[in-house]
Amino acid sequence: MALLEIETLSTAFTSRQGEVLAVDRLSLQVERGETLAIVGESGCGKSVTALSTMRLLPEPHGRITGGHIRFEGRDLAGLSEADMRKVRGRDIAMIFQEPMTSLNPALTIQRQIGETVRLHMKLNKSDVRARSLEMLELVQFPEAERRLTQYPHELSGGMRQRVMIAIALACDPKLLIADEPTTALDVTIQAQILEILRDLSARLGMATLLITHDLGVVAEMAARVVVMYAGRMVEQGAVADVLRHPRHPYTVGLLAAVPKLGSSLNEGPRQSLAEIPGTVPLVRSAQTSCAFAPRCPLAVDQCRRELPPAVEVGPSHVSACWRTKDVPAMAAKLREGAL
Amino acid sequence: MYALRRVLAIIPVIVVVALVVFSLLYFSPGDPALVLAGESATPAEIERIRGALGLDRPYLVRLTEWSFGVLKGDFGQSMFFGRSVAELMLQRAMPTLWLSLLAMVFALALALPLGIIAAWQAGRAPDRVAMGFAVLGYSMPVFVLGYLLIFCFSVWLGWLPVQGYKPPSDGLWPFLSHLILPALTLGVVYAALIARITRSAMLEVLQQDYMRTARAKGLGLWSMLLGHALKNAAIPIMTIVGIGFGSVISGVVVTETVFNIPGIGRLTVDAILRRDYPVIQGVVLVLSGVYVLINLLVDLSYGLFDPRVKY
Ligand SMILES: Nc1ncnc2c1ncn2[C@@H]1O[C@H](COP(=O)(O)OP(=O)(O)OP(=O)(O)O)[C@@H](O)[C@H]1O
Ligand SMILES: [Mg+2]
Repeated sequence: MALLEIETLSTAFTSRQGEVLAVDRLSLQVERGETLAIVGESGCGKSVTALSTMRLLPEPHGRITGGHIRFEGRDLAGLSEADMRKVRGRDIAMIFQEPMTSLNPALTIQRQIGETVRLHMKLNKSDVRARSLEMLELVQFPEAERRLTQYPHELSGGMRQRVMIAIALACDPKLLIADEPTTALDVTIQAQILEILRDLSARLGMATLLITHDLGVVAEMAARVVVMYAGRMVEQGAVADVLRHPRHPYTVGLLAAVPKLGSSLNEGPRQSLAEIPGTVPLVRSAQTSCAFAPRCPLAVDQCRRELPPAVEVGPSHVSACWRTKDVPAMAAKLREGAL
Repeated sequence: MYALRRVLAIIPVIVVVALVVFSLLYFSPGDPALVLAGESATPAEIERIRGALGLDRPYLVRLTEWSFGVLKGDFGQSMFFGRSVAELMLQRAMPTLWLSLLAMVFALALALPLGIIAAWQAGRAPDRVAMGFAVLGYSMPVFVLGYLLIFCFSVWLGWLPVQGYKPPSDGLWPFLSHLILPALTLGVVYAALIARITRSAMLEVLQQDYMRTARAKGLGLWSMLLGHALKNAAIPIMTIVGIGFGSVISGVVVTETVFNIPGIGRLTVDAILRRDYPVIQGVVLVLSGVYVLINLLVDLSYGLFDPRVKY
């Protein structure tokens, strides 16, 4: 049994533009100790998937409308808020994209790390302090002892993200959800933070759900990857397979849009891919055809009429495309054209 | 350094208040000598009283005299009570002090929970009810509320005395029972003010990213609201506690009259009715001083809540 099994998860929002289906029958698994990456353009539902798993949606206007989120066999989607509180921070921890605003400006670093420990591990005061210090040292925080009593505004973005990691890992979670943990940081700091994350997840044997739109980060950090488009999984498999032998036209487009590893897919929100004209559509109700068809060079009538099922295209390599057999040829042509 | 600058900045404020108070009364129509002499006094008698009180001397002379007196803590003699103004104020200070203190406690005890719950339940029934009460409390005249409370709790239920004041030395219950209704009356406007600001400040804080972090840690509702949100909302709340104290000061006059409490508020009313200028001047000056001082304390408290505030 996988550690986390998301099964046909649907999450909807009611907003000014009416009903939006941000996640549409998404399924994925995270095994114990593994790092799974989710990639996709801005707005494809990566964060919403993470927030659904943590049950941190802005209810009632954002809510899970279907499916299951099984964590160690227990369905989080149906858990009461009180039970969910015991899961958050202890079994599943989360780091967010914005280190500048994700820490409480009015509380000391020690308090912010310590309160999770106190809450979930029931330690006494001096043990809480020792544990906070230990966590800061684990994330290679310089002068940890002195900085325990500092406030977030006294720290740089990279230092704040280290504190966020320290908070997240303080109770030895089984799963860490990292939602674009380095997007807001500059390149050298990014590398340091990723290094820390990789090192710690290996050392602590923790599973990681890493959300990113940077294929370079995927290649470096993850064993498996899920490619998302318009709230659905379009391709999934081992990182080496998916990045080297993509079997979905969208993945091919993503890869072609990256001139070299290490650059990011979308600097601005909703920026279209150079190789794929058009933008991510707004999905309002359960999809009945391929959402990528309007942008897809391989699209045929069937794509516009029927929803492609996820089919096995290799060992644990899955693609949801009617024309998946023709994708390698398309990728080859694209490469030649680019050369 | 900052604190010292703030304290020094008070001085010009107080000087201006003193000047305005003195001049306004000096140039306002109505002659205290006439009031003092009574209906049947002859012009000669009135003139004699004016001379005795020093009312016939020029503006600048009297202003200078009064100012130097105030600096020494001498606010002059009451024209009517035959005692020094300072003595009168001291004697009346305690009831007012207790009354406004208890009003403040009531106001905070009412306003903070109401505002916090309203923000947490924004747009839902508890929010509507809480803010409905706030609007009601804010728009109801103090004396109407006072008489309403007296009617309900004293006349009808008979739980509390109707009027009057007992010092703490008479025992805790007599003291408190006389003070509960007036303090409630006085505190309600203040509470309405604070509750509304608490709601809007909390509402803004609750939308911040760090509140999502707090939830992601598995914290319970109360740790989130009180431990994480309230401290970030404290500065606007403290500010309104300071500014809104003006409503307590002006409410004291009406409340003490309605409940027959021998405090500064009643002294003010009596002095105004009798054109007892030195008393009015003294009271207004002291109350302004108290207001400025409270707002200074509020300013200095910002550093307790926001570590980014540096003095
Ligand atoms: N609070 C919200 N209210 C209304 N709609 C929302 C909200 N949050 C997300 N959505 C909808 O869900 C869609 C997916 O958003 P999500 O934040 O998951 O994208 P993402 O893949 O994380 O993108 P990014 O890379 O920009 O973080 C959005 O396009 C939007 O329509
Ligand atoms: Mg996101």
